[in-house]
Amino acid sequence: MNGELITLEDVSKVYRLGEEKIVALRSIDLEISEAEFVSVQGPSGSGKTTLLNIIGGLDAPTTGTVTVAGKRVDNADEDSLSSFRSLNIGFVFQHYNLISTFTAIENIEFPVEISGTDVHKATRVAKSLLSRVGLADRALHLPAQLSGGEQQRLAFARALANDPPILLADEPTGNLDTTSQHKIVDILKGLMQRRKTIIVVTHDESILKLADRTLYLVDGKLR
Amino acid sequence: MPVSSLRDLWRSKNKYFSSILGATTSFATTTFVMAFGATIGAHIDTSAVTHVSVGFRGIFSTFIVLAIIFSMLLSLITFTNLTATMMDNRSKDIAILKASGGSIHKIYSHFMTQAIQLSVLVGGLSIIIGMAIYAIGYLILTFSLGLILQFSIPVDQILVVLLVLVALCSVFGHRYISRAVRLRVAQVFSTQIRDVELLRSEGWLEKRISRPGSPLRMAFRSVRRTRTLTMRLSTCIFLSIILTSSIMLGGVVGDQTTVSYINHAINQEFIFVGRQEVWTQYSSLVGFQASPSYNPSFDYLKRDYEINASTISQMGSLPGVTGVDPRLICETELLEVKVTILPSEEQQEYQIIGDDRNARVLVTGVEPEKVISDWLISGRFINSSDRPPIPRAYSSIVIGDSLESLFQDTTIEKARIIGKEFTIVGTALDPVNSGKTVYMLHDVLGSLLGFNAYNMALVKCNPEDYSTTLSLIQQFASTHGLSAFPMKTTVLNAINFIHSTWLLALSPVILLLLTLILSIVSYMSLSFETSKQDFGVMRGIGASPRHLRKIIMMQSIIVSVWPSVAGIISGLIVSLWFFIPSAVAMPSSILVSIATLLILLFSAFLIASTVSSHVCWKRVMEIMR
Repeated sequence: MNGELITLEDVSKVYRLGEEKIVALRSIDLEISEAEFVSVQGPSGSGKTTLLNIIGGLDAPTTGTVTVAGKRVDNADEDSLSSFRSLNIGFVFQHYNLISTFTAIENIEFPVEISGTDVHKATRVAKSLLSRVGLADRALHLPAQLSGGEQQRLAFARALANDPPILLADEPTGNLDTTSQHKIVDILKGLMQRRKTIIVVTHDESILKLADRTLYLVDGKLR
Repeated sequence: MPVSSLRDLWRSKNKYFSSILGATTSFATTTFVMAFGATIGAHIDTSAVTHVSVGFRGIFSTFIVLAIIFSMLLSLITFTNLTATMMDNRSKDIAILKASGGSIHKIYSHFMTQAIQLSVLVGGLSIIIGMAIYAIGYLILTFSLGLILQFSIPVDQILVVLLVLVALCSVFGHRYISRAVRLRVAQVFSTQIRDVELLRSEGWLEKRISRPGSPLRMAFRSVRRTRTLTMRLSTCIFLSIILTSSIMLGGVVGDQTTVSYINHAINQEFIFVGRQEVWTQYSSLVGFQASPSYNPSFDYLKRDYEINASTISQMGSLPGVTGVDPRLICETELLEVKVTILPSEEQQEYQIIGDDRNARVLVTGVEPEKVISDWLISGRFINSSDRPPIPRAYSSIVIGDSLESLFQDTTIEKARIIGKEFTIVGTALDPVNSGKTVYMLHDVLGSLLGFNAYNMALVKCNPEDYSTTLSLIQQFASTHGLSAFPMKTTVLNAINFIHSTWLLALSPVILLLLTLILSIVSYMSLSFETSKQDFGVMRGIGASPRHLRKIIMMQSIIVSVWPSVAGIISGLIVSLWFFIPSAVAMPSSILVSIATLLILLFSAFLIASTVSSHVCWKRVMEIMR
């Protein structure tokens, strides 16, 4: 893979709310290189989460093309998008979005198992990741029994389960206490050292400092 | 308040559409069965147009009453589950309302008003649907059976029952509304799903039947950890299936039992031998509908109609004939004989049992050793297999089921026929003369009437040589100035009437099955609603739509298999043991009914899973939205 890992060309996203049209993104052109750390900033409702969702193939753009790791994700079918995400993208959602009926270790095992990895290896990977994020003793707890910081670290561990080249994180330190924030920043630093491509929506200064560049979104446009 | 709760209800109409439709069809079933039972059913029971016996009426009335009760219960279950699910889904909204300063009383009133509005709406719609189906049923019965039935709707009764249903729905809904309103705000927001339960070890079954990560294991995890929800869902499905299968199988058993007692009393394979006039009169008494050929002043004792013992004996030696049952029949009055019970230690005063009631009956004199009918008798059989004391008891009679209601107590009362008093030793379910029949020894009847011969005979022959034997008997009869007629057409007419009536009585089953399917679809889709976020996340982290669909299918199977099997078995037990005493049913018919029910249930679960899993193919953000 040479040059740009992620390319967005003239990407727009319009939501319909009854008769009303809400433009989330307007003609976005963006290129992100391999191993680059990009932070995204902008006021509430400016389209930051939508941009992340479109890059990750969770949402489709209304117009424009999105190419990630050489694959067009804007018009791909859901089956191929799933396997693509499983191997290439790690997602950290704004509200953690852990699977509520799975324990901490199962939340990590699940993406590994569905990528076709041997189950024993999946358990080894999950245990090792839980240790890396400091949750080894919480392996058998359900998400509802973890604190906000622990849930966020678990979300990071899950995002890294298949060792994807790209990590997308939406406000990963949003509602966390200082100690938890530091732990998240440490995880991100570790990922940078492992040459992962990282895109983070954040307003956290400590994360912004790590970024190679920062994108500003205002009313769906890059400034 | 009523306007705002109605507006709120209107906004969630799409989400609960299938549940509301399910509740409406179950309410409509109640309305229909009530209207049917009170008018057409009652008409079939009592009208002079139809000649059903008391035994048939008993089975039919039990069925109608139980169908009304069961459909009401199903309505309650469906509606209560709808309220429970609605309240589960609104718990966050309630918490927000409380956090914003809304009083518990006002929030409770809002949702209680909504529940009442919903039940009234469902009740109103159900009257329209139920009445439409009733009108269709009426037309079918009128045209298919040629009966002139009165079209009337018991509006007052239907309204009372629906009001009771609305009240009961509100009472049952109150429990869930009250519980949702009383939940602490922090409790609602502290967990993603309230009912998720921590299980540190996996179940024995899931460890053995699936590999980790497989859809089956994933489904097991979800189902076990949401077991409160799962239990409610499974219980609703279980109860719904019991009620539906009881009515469905009860109808099938009812139909077969009534048909069976006709076939036992007068088998289709029997051949009538006698004079043409006697045949016309006798065949007009066999069916369940009034026959224009019936002659109320028919003289059964004309010398021309005599069949003597030697003719009977010759007939019995014809090849292929396995039994000849000679009979002497005539119509006469039966009088109930009062009994006076003398004072005893328990009873201080004289007690008079009976009321001198009378009825016009068909009296049949039989030779007990030669009787080929096999009546279903709740008492003792009149035939030779039942030894003492009947065959030689000259003062004993067996009465048809419709006559039993004439007496207060057949075990102590007597009946007077042609001036002689008889002891009643048994009651037979009899389709002849709509159960108003009396069987006694031929010798006794002959001496009472002064007619010592027979006036008809029923012949039983080897079914394999039926046609040959029939023509032999016809030849034999013509040489003796008699005629032979196969009973098939006459008996089949009676059986067809029974089938048509039961078919119509079973039509609520179609509504109940529709209710069941809609309930299952709504249970499943509402259960999917609560897991939608998790499914979205799974897709987000790489699960394919197919993988997700497999998990949903597995979940549906786990949730539905045991209630389906247990529900059908329980329904069968209810219909066989409690619905009809002395139920008779062909195992093949029961199996066919169960197979039909299983196919319908499987289709319902497949529809429910397909509807739920359809969303798996959407973009992740659309699933989670």
